[in-house]
Amino acid sequence: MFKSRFAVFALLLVALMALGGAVMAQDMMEGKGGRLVVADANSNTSLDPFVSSWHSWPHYAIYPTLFARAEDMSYIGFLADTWEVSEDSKALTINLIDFATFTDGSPIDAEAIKWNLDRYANPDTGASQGRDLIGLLEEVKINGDYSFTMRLASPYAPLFFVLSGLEIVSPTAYEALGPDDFGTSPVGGGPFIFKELVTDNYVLFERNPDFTWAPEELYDHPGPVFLDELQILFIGEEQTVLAALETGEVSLAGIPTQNLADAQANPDIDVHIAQLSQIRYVGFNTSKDPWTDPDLRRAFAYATNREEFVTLAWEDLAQPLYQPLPPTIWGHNPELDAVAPSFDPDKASELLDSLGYVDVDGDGLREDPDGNAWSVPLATASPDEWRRQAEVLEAQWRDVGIPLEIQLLEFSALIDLTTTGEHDLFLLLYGYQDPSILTYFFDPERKGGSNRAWFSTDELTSLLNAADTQLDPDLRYEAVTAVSEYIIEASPWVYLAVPPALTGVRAELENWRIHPDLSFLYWNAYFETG
Amino acid sequence: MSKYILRRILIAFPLILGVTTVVFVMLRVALPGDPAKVLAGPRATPELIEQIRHNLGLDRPVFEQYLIFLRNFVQGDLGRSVKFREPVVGVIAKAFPFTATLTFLCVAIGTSLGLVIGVVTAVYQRTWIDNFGIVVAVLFYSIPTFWLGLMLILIFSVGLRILPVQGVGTWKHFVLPVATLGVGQSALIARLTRSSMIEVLSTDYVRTARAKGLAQRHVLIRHALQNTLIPIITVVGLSVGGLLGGAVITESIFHLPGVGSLAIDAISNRDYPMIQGAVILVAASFVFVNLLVDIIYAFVDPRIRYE
Repeated sequence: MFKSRFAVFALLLVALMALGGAVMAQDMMEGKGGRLVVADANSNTSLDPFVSSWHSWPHYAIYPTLFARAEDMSYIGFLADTWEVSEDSKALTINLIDFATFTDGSPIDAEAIKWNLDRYANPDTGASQGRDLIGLLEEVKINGDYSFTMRLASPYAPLFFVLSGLEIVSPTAYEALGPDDFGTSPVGGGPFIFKELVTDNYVLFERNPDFTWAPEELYDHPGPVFLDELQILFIGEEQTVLAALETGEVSLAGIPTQNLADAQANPDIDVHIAQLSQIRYVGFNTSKDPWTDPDLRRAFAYATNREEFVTLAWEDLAQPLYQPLPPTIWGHNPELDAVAPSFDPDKASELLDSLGYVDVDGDGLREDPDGNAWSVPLATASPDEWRRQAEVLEAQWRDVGIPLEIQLLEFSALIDLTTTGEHDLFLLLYGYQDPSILTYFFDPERKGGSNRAWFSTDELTSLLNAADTQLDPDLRYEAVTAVSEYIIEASPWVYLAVPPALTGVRAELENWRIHPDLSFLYWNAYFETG
Repeated sequence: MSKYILRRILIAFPLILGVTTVVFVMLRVALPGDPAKVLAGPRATPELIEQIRHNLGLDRPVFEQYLIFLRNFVQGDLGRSVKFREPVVGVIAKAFPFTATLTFLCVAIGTSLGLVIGVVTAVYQRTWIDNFGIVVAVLFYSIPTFWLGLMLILIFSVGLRILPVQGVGTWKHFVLPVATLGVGQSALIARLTRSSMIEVLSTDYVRTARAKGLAQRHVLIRHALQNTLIPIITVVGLSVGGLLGGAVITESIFHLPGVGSLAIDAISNRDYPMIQGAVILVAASFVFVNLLVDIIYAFVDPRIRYE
């Protein structure tokens, strides 16, 4: 009798708590909502994460990930509740939260995660995202409904970084729709549900009413999100974006450098300025003469005035860079700036003279060591921003007698050129958030792919390997510093600048903030709806 | 006439196929860039690029790819977009109504306005009205589309806040794009109409019509304007064909989901199937509009007969 009374009481208490929670949630959402309209041309990719190589707003709106990054840049659980790394660092056991579901109603459990990880790790999938798992992930062993263990071929320091970027899709929906149709009817378990796609124009999402698993380290309110809808417009025309931001048709967008003052003067727009986790650099094809000579490459580094470069090309909003990692990527060591080649035209001239590049005919431009006219081809992208940067370099290098010949190409043609091995110099960018990016650019296996400088040595490969397999943060930092130091000395690149991220947000949007990794934290943001 | 139309339609098929074949080969042989490299992203390994090329069928010989394309083409299948993985036919079918609406409105309004301005300036030749009309027409025709589009946005959207900057959904969304394209169209038609009208107004049959005491309006519309229509119809036909292929700049500035912006995006991403789909649409548009123009000729000028 006592037991049954207690059970009824307990049930009533649970029901009241649930009701109270629902009422509180309802109260919290009262008067909050609206549609957040974001302009981002880069988001114009397939919504299937196994197809798209660029993952941005739409993907993070519909798909959850295992981990996320806290504002101190440490890793926190998203779908992962608790986790443990084995002593040999070759196994990661993850216990999932047990209340998350995909929007088709199926549970986000260990089976679903295994299906996703296996698909990312399968080379036949051809997934750009998650390719780090190929050859690394040996097995995903299920321990229970919400627990699994990833077994790795070797320790891998960027594992948490990789897992925090892998979107988890509903296997049930993916198998029902097939890879051809999933991209137009995607199903995830994130804060939003897919609503409408106008290919090449916009994608629209609505609030996922069941979403209550936002990481508490990032969001006070774990969900559902306050916003009713999220719309991503794929607008490429900068001035249209700015006009739409000014009129309120767009609530959030990047601001072109030349329009910063106008945007700042507008009381309806809040402007956020930060440095991107991105760099601009000039690369040499080190497999092709004369760029095989490190002294010649170094001469270009000494001839480059980064301070002037950021002033002329970026109106002083960018930051000069002297090493392969920017300060916005963990692993950057500011002490290395002192040992890196900085602007020294005399030293550049001295090096060029010693290599036989001298001005024979007295026209102010150097001839090659055989006395023939010298021309240095620099390939870059055709948009104005890139042309301006190349022109600044042309002027700076001309001052020490280097005759630059700028070749403007479409991005796809430029990427193609750098994979052929027939190119000379190229002006490009990279953007990432982990020092393992350097492996992509200097791995001998990636010549013809992302190793566009076609540069590798056994010593560098072993340094990169040491950095990528060292899990202790302090030791990894030292290993990354050693990698950077080696690359600075070998000079396959001339590091130029860390560009700015200028974001404009409509003043009506409340309760948002920008993460140090520059992602926009908007799951608790809202417009007042009266 | 019906035999002529049938013959023209039959000729259209090999013509479109010819254009498509040239584009198919040029894309794969002459145009630098590789869709697999674009799709693989900036951190790709050569293996990943090869895997994607294999998945897309791009590792097969060009001739084999062409045979597959032809087989699918005759079945009405233009393949799937490399970038979006959606059927090209479906994507273009969704984009075409926006482009067709923009084209129709631009040509209808621009041509009507141009005809009125052309007739008025011809009738009031060598007066201030004529001079003013010529200056305005030359000015309108010379304004670059991208500049005009942005100026209209700044004035009517940002300044006056009476029209939207971008997108589609209401009639208001078409006002600025149509104005941007229509201004050039009306200027072209006005110049053409004026010169043709001046020539026709000095002919004997117009003088005779006036001598018979016909009203000025009747002389202008029934006798003069009707005889100036042939070159105007030709120009309008060319404009329609060109615009149906996509008013690229206007669609980009106003963020319209039309064929033009789709084609540009496809080219920069080396999305071969999508580029081929857009080219087929452009070729078909030109063939169809030219046929339509030829038929209209016969209605406007009864002396024209097709055997």
